[in-house]
This record gives sequence, C-alpha cells and structure tokens, in this order.
Amino acid sequence: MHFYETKIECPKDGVVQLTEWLRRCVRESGVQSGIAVLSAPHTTSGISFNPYMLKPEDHQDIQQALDRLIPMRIDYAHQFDNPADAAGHNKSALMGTNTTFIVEGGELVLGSSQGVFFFEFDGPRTQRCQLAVYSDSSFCKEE
Amino acid sequence: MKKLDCNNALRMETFDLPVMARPFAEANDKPLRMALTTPQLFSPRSCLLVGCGDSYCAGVAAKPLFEQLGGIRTEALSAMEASRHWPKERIGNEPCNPLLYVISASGNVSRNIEVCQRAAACGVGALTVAVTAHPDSPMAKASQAVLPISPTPFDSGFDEHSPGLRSYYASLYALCSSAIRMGEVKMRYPMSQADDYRRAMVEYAESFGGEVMEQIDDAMFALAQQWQEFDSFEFLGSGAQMATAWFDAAKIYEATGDVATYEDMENWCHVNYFARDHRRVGTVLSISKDSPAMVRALEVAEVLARLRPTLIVTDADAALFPEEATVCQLPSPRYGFLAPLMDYVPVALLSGYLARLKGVSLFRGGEPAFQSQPTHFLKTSQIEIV
Repeated sequence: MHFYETKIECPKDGVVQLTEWLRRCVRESGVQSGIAVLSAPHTTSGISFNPYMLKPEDHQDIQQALDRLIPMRIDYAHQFDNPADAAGHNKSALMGTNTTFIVEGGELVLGSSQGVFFFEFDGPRTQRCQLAVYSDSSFCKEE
Repeated sequence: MKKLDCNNALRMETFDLPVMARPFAEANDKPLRMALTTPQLFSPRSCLLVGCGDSYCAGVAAKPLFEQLGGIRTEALSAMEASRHWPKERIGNEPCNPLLYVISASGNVSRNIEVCQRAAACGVGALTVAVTAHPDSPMAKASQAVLPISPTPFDSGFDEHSPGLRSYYASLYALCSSAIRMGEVKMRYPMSQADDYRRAMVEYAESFGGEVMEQIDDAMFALAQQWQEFDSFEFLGSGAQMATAWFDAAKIYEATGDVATYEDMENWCHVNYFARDHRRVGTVLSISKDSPAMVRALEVAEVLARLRPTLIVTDADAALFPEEATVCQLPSPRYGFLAPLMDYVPVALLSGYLARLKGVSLFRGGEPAFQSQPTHFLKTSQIEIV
C-alpha cells in the first residue's frame, strides 16, 4: 500500500480540486493496476465529483444546493459548536467522506470531464486528505 | 516595615490569579459554553448585565465584549437600577428579550433576586441568567438559566475576610466567555477565532505570574510606603477602564476604609481637578494602550503629575508618561478588550499594603461599629416588585 496525505487550507464553505494531486500520487506509487481509496478524515467535509473544467465559483452550485437541502438552523440538537458546524455535519454525512477509484495502466481512471473535489461545509479550517493506493497483487492470496 | 511583614489575604488572592487561571478555565469552559442554547443566544436583541458591588463592576467591564464580540446592544446596570427604576417594558415584553445576566457569586443577594423576580413578573420577556458559584441559590432558582462558576480551591493563610478578587475574576471570566460564545454561535467569527479568544484570556492572566507579579508587587509596596499617610484616593478611567477605576476604588474602601472615588477622566478635568488638598490625594489613572482615549489620557497625565501624587497603570510604553508619575507597566493582552480581566492587580496589591501600613484590618474586621451592623443586610433586605 502506498499512502499519501495533503493539507488543505479551506476558506469558509470552500471547494478545492484534488484531481491533479490524485493523478500525481497514483503515478508516483508505481501501481499499474489496482485501486485507490481517498478519505477526508473530518466531519464537516465531503468528497465528490464535478466537471474539472468549471470556473471555481461554479462549484458553489453544489454548496448552495446542499444549503437548500440542509439549511443552517439554530435548533439542531448538536449545539456544542455553531449552527454552520451543525449543518456541516449533516452535509458531510450526506455527501460522504471517502471514495474509491480504479487504477489502470499506472493512471487514475476518471471520466473525461470528471474532477475530484474536497468540500468544506464550515471553516475556515486547515483540513487533510489521505490517499491509499493498492496494487492488484496486494489482494492476491499467496500460494 | 519589610514587605513580607505586610503580607495580607488580598495580596495572596492577587498572587493566586495567574495560578488559578488555567485550572479555572479547564473546570469551567465546557459548562459555560453549554449554559445557553443556540436559540437562547440568537434570539435576544439586547443584553442587560446586572449586579451589586464588584458584580456590577464585572458587568461594566464585560459590556464592551458583548457589544464588540456578541454584536448586541448591552447595558450594565446596578441591581437597584434594574429592580426599581428600569422601565418594565425594557425588562421584557417579547420572548427572550433582553438577555438578562444577574451576577452574584453567592446567589443570595436580595436585590439580585428581586431583579430576577421582577423580570418573571413581566410575563413574557427577559431570559434571566444567573452568573453564580451556587447553582442552588435563591437567585439561581429565580432564573431561567445558570452560568455556573466553579471556583478553584484556595486558602490565603490569613484569618481575615479578603476583598473578593478571585470571585471578581471568575465572574468576569464567565461573562467574557458568554460574550465570546454569543459571537461564535452567531458566526460573527470562526470557531477557531473563538477558541483563540478563550486561550488569550488564560494566557493574559498567566502573563502576570512569576517575576512580573514580583515586580508589580515591589513597586506597589514602595508606593504604599509613600502613600500611607493619605486618606483619600481617586481613580480615573475611560471606556473599559472605568470598570477598573470602579474596582480599584472599591478595593481601597474595603481594604483601608479610606475615602476613594472613581471618575471618567474627562469629567475629572471638569470637577475633581479642583480638590484643594491635591498633594495628599493619591490618584491612579488606568489606561490601556489600545484605548481610544489614549491620547486624552496622556494629556490628563501631564496635569495629574503636576498636581497630584500619581500612579499610571498601563500596558503602554512608560516613557510616554511624565517622569513625575509612577508608572506601573503591565503585560498586554493579545486582544485589548481583555485588559479589565487583570489590570486591577497593581491597586489590589497597593490596597493590601496600605491597610497593613495604616494598621487597619480588611473590611474593618474586629471593629465593633462594623460588627454591630448586620453584614447580611445585603441578603435580608425586603424584596419589592415595582
């Protein structure tokens, strides 16, 4: 297994593209065929896909859609932090904090317009993303 | 007399402040954070900070934080003003408004209980919050929520009642925490910023520890020897340092029994300036380097140093002030609005030394005239709802 981690300086409700970092890590791993697992080990963040070529502000469409689904309210049961944080936990649970990719031919396999993005639902915060790249061979049972 | 021969309970309390700051925060931060719900912090459109004596002063000191951090219009009132004179419609005619903090470490003071009961009698209205070390006290029971203060253990080693320095710090810390929390919940700044404000409170108190406190202590003992023949004192402040001036004057009264007044520095120029026996009025000007009144304070300091025996308490550069004045330079808080948490330390030490050098007991302990006055009349006064 090859492990990588990157720090992300997230503004409030920031969206950060991870696509190029993922491609670099997979190439650096030398794994020709296998899978890669991406994880954001946080509770107010998420990982999802959007067209990689969009203008940065266009990614706010997803944030705003989530705002409509999970508006910031003052009556969440979770009151230790603030209302944005409480809503952020819900958005994070809905979007999910990890995803799996196919690695083939030494490259990350993505659709032609797929970009991978880190979403922060609160912040500003310094967050992390972790990537584990596994070769097919690591799943083969030794005879 | 040597300095340590003049040691006293008030001095011991003062020395304990930097020591207690961190364990006090560790014991109290979470309960203070969770004392009010998010809707309770969001709903009010104004705040009232109410108390008697030092607790009133804590309200005056915390008012700028509620306005600056909490973004809420705030008044600091004496309990008498709030219970007998403040218009009923401003105590309450809409839900959760105002957010009414009633401050008393003991929770037994009649006038404070009266404020809570008056607010309840207004029907729909104020959200009353007791700021107290006794969550089972009558004041707490008359309130809708409690901002709890759990004091850290302390023994001064003296068999004398000391002016409540630690309880003042605790009350002020609780109010500051609540103001920080309000701003955090209302998302006026990120949670990381709120945590930094909390850290800065503790770090500021701790910055008075060790050699810093020893230096202040030496300077105040030396000044007490110069001022021990004086029997009147004046304290000048402006803005947040009005609370410091108020509290400083209270410590002189409690420790020495001498007449002590406090005044806004501008008003002082109009009135108190004319004191006839000006060479025998020990005068203290408190000014934070971040205060909007700093330039005016420098002007007033020039006049003071010419007329009066003067102590300047400041975190600004001592060289800014006239040579004739004694300048006690304090550590700076990371955020200027936190200065009232600790800037009363020099006068607390001075008060204790003056009491010893004058040969008087703190709070007139042992003097029959004061013992015959029931000290609990604060707690047995008739409650009236007007």
